[in-house]
Amino acid sequence: MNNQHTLRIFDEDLNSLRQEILALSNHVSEQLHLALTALVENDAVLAEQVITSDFIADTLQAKINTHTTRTLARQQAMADDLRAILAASRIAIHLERIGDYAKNTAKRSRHLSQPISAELAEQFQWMGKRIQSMLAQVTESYIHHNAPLANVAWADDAELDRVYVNLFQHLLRTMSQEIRNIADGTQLLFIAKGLERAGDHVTDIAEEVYLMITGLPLQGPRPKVSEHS
Amino acid sequence: MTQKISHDQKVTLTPSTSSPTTNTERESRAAEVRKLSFWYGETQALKEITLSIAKRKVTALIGPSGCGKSTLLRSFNRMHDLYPGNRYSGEICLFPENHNLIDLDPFMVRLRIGMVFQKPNPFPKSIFENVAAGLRIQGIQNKKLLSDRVEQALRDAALWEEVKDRLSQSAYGLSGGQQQRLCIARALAPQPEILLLDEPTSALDPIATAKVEDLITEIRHRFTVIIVTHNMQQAARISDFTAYMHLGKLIEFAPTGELFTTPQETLTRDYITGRFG
Repeated sequence: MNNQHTLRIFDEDLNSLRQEILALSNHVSEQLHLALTALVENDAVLAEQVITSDFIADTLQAKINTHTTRTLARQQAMADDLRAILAASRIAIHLERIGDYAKNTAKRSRHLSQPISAELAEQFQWMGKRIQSMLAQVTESYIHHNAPLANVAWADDAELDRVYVNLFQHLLRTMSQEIRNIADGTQLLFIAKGLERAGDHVTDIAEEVYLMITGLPLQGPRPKVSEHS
Repeated sequence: MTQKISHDQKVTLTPSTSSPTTNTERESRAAEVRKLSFWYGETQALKEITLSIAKRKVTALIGPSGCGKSTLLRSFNRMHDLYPGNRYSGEICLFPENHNLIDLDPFMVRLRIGMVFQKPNPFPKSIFENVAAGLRIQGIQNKKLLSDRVEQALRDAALWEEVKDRLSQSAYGLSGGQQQRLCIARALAPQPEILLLDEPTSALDPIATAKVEDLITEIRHRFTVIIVTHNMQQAARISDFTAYMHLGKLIEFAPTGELFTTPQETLTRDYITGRFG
């Protein structure tokens, strides 16, 4: 956006929406970080904090939903303004779902019978950091209308999928070796799948942002390394 | 070719020689504007406008005040001929004949192209006689035929049910919205090839506006409609194609759904999103 609307309240509405998306994105990114910290440090108190904080994401998403509906009704937006409002509504849904996966990670971490190995911790933390990094990219892309950056985040999902597939196979091997590993292994499989899905939601956001900025869909099949992902 | 307007101009029926058009293209178009320029005296109001008017579709002309959209619309029925010093260059070709209407007798043009204005302007006559006026000019005298055509036009204009029991009463007794629909019925009665609407709802309340918009969407399958409107939401709601004009130039012309969601030109985007240009 390089110039302002004649009706200044419209600019204020759109700026508010951007700030609300930024707040929701920062919140779910932090939730993800805390959930994975709770997992690798076997910290039940921190896990509980993540679970009880999930309502903030729900509240922010509902607020954005109301805001976008009111803006559509009041401003009768056109062109890139219309795309920006629709994108905000859809991005908020994806962010809220990422928050749900963070909560789910925290919930499952409480059911583990023992701390996870350093090797697993490293892989889970890598996935979490990759999602946070992708989320930061798509959020910056959204705020600053940077379409190439959305494209970068979109392509980064392939690496996340690769690590997920490795983790999945590692957990399967662990469970097949010892029957007592199955309970914890199953919880960790769900956590890993949740993180992989969170990455997919960031990819969805990247597509929304690209469409919002350019008016065109991102071309080509999504980057995937395996049918397992 | 620049052409001065002459009030005793001869009727010319030679087909246009420029931009040869295939039969299929002619079938899908009602008219085509080709490099049309127009001057009010020394002031150039239109600058080499070229666009196609799709047959039995609604084409909206939008743009800020002074952009030339009403000037373009009025060129279609030779309204500018009423004032001395005005001149055109370029062509507005009517299909299927491919005749340049600027070369035709204005009287003949207006029998083929109807027009409705911003404010309702019924004649000081009965409702029936208002609608029958154009038919009488066409030479229709048979009472049954006149009556049938008046009823059909009033039905097309979604006014029949409201006036069928008072056709002999003065048109001035109708509300503003009804008067405007009466004017549309009057324009539709001679079965024009193209109906021109110059901000037809700007003087109407929202309900009357909705009725006019509804009738436009009803008649679009039988008539070609060109509408000038300042109301972008109206253009978005009812038109199939939209042309955005600025300072006498055609900036962008596209299917309405595309122009209002993904305009290709910055000027169009700034206008439809309400930004400073």
